[in-house]
Amino acid sequence: MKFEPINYIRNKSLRWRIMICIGIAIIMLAATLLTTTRMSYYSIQNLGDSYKSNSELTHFSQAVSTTEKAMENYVNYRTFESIDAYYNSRTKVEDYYSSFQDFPSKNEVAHKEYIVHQLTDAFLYYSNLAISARRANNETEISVNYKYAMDSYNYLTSQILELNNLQLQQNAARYDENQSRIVISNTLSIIFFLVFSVMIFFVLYLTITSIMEPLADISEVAHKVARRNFDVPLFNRTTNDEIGTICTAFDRMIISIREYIDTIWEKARTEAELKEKEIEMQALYTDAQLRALQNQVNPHFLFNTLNTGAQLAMMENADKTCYFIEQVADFFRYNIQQQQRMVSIDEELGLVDNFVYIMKVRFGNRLEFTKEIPDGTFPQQIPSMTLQPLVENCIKHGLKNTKGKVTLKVEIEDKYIVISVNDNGEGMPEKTREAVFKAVASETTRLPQDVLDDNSTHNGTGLISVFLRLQLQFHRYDLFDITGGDNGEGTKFIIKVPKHV
Amino acid sequence: MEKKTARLLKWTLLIISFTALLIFSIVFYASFLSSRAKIQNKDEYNPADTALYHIIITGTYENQSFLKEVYDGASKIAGEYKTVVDLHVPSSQADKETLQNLLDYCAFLNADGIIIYMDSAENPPVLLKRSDSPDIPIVTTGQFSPTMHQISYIGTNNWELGKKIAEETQNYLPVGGTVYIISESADSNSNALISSIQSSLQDNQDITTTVIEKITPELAIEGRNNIFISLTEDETILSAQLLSEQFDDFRYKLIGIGGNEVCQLYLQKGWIGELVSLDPEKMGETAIRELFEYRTKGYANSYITAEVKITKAQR
Repeated sequence: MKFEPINYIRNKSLRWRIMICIGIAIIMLAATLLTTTRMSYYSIQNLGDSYKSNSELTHFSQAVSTTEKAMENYVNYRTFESIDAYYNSRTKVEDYYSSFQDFPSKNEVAHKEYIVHQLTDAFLYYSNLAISARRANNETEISVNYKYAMDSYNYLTSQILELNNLQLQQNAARYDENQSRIVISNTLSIIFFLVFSVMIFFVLYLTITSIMEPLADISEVAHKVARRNFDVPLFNRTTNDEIGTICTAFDRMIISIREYIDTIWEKARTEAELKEKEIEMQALYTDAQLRALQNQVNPHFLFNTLNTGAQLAMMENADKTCYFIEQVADFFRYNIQQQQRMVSIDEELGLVDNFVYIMKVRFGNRLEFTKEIPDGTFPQQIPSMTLQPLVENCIKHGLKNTKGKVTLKVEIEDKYIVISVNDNGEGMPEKTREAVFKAVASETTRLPQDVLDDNSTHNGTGLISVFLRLQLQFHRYDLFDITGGDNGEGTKFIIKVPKHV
Repeated sequence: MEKKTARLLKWTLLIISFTALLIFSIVFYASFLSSRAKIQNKDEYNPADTALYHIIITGTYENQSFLKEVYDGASKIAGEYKTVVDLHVPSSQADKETLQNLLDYCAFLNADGIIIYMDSAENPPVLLKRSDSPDIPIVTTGQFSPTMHQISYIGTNNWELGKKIAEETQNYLPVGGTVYIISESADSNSNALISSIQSSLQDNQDITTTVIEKITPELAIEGRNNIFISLTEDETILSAQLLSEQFDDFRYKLIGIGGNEVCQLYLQKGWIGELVSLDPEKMGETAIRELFEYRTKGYANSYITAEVKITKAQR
């Protein structure tokens, strides 16, 4: 898998990035401090050693002088102390001169060191011969070797002096050079420190920028949201740091707000529709109340009138007229009294009989009404005025023919009492049928204008009301249907009433 | 997408800049700071300067100019033999170190070779010997001393030198003239030289040769075509002084043998017209070669003829 450092860093938490940043800064500063301290220590230590070689050479010179003195004492006085001193100082001299340059060199100082080395060697050689000759008491050898030892010693001291001067010049030059180097070193350390400081600033700037930039974006978006501008782009940030978490939460919040707003809009729209319906229903209700009041006022007058008519017909022995008027009065009484009530199927069938009798009196032989009702009673409760509007509708459409035929059937099925009303009219158009069911589903009581017949005096309210009341009563939508007539003509309304109700 | 790309680009640029700055700092520190700030106190001599052999050229103060040139010649080829050459002569005329002392000093240094200028053939210095080291080979120049323990002597071929001086004399006297050969000593070297000059000039009928012991106030010269020839360095210096006092400088030319500082000074002044000397630089080179030939083969040429060098006055 390809390693991407930028993504790797961006996926780290802010705490991690800040800590790393501080860590880098500390490392850089520590490196600077360490370097500066180290160089200062090194410089000071070495500066103090600038004249070390002179000091060592002085010690060497002293050791050589001591050796010469000891040799001289031994040659002249032959004492134990002098020979002991000779060998002691000789050892020191040997220790010193062994570190000298032992080959000639093109370098002036090194070559002078070589000359001192060689003269020291000669001095030790001849002084040793002089000592040996003194031990052997060989005066001639003592004299010769002592002379050579002293000659070489004199050359040696003068060469040591020259070497000392050379080293002094060299060391003085070095001292000055080292001093200037220390100054350079300090200056460069400051520059280095400044460079590191710039780098630290750079790292901090990068880190803070990387943290602050998304926060600024978030702030900007938050301000937009605060101004109710929800049309803001989502961050879609995939990093796992705290900013990424905030961005993800912010994105979710934006999405939730948008969804919530959509819900509120939908709810408001639905409520508006309901309000509209409520207003419409209220208007209908008011209209119905008005009508009912009118009906409540008029029926008393109508009943009194009809009763007066019936008594008049009885006094004139017009039994049929009397019966007719009583049927009419019963029908209207039922009609007024049973509104808003639940009634049995039997009661509804009785009302249908009243209504059909009135219609028969009105239309005579033009109306043929057939009832097919099995024996027994049907106490099942249904909304009042359920069957009468259906029968009325069928009579209305059946009478469009020469002879209107209306059939009312009551059938007992497995779980339902099935009541059907059939006419021999021209049948209900499919469009109207669908409009009726659609109106029932949407709980409206009017059919659309384009569905209604131009010649029709009704707007389908009665039929829809029947189905609506059934629906409200049983909370089901499968209890009514409209089909074609049994003989392939007319319309058939079917109502299914649960048997156990 | 564009914003994301721009941000990525910005980050990349920032990281590249940061890395460049970091690398620059490290390089700056490594190459500049460390080299500049490094303090040196130890005598850490360059190993390339170290040589294997040490040869000393020595002689009295009077010969220091000559020896300086010998030293220059020897130094030219010293590098080929990994050798350091030292010139050890007294630093001033007041420093009256004898040749023996100078040689002792060289012996104390236990040098790998000594080139010494012998002032005199008599009483040559004795080289000190140490039991813990081999004998130091010596090349001599100047006077030849048969008793001196030496591997080579670099000297002059008097016959050839005489011919050379005669040629130079004839160049000065295209129409003839008088040649005065100044020779006080009667040693074999001088005689050979005089014979060679006279022999070379005798074919020219226009030139008259006269040998005189020294320049005296009574000496009289005629015309402008007079050449004086001095056969030793001391005689050259003395003759230059006397001639400049006695005659106008356009009436004579002094051809001298020598090469020391006084001679050079008189040459600059015009008191000496021409200096004939051995070529010291060539001698130095020859001496170094002989020393190393002796070191490698165990023997060397015992007598080597030095080349002649002629220096003319500027005016």
